[in-house]
Amino acid sequence: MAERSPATRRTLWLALVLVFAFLYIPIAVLVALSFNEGGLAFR
Amino acid sequence: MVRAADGKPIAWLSERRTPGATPEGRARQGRGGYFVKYQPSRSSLLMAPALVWLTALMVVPCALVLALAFFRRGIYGGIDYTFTLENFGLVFDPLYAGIFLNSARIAGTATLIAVVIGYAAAYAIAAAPRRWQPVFLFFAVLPFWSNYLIRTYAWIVLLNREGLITQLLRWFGYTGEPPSMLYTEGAVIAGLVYNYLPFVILACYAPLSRLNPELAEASRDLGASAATTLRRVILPLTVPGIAAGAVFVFVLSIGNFVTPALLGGGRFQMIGNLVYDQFLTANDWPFGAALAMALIAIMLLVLMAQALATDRAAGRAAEARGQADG
Repeated sequence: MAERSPATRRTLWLALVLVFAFLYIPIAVLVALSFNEGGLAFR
Repeated sequence: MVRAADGKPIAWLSERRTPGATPEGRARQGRGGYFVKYQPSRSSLLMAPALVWLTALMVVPCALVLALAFFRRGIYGGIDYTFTLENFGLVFDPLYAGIFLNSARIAGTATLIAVVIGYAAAYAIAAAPRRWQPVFLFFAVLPFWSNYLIRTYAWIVLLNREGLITQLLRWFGYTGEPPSMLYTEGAVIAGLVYNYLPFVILACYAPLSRLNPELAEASRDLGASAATTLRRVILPLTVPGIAAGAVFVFVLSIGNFVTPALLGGGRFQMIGNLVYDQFLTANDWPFGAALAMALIAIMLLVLMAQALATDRAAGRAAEARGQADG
């Protein structure tokens, strides 16, 4: 792809970080809570 | 099947609107007909197992379900083999038509959000250094390696009243009643977007990575802003990827029943849940079959729209190439 300004590059990296956060935070939370001995209370 | 004298199969040749237009056509006419010997090619032989598989496990079951839709429900469940069209009439009943429209709205919203997020991610991956692109793609697909149910349960853990979001709100000083996020339409849409986002990223990445960078550079050199270049150059040339990703998300979302059941808590009925209920709860297989056929018809319409959009985009791209070459 074409050369981009630093601001555009930062925006693209931010978009990528946000998308990966969206993809991985739910699974990371589930993995973290799988070590919770007391279980979970859903309300 | 029609066979030649040597026993090999013969296929009807339908290629000639003007039979005498070519020397081959005139030669065939001279031999007295339009039949040619059909030699099974290597590609048709290679396709045969897949065609047999699809016919046995896709076409035949769909035909059976379609046939089921033309019968009545038995008094004690089961099927009364009396021909009727009332199941299809019932599909258009305002109650069920409303569920169809609601499903289309939820699936459409999920598709729109997934396309916006997925396109941005695919654009960012395609713009990353070449050596990092396979790594980012790998991490975009990695969540798919876990089970669909587990991925959906992860959102229950996240959105419930004692979940991470509530904990974060309390950490920031919020002391009121925890917001009710689980078992809402927003939760269903979030679950659908989350589960199908990698499809959009992969579908959009393919055309974006093949895009000729000189086109964007030429647009910028001619004075277009970054937004105009995206809108007038990059987006039109990547329509096939967007359409493919959108169709993936829409078709898989509109018939989904796991996500609305788990994240909607049964408060939001989509077509998938309705079909499930007809087959397994109401024991009305013929009406369930009619609903399933209506769903397939909607999906076919969406696929046709995608093919049309892809075709037009390919035409535009060819026209642009022709103008550039000329």
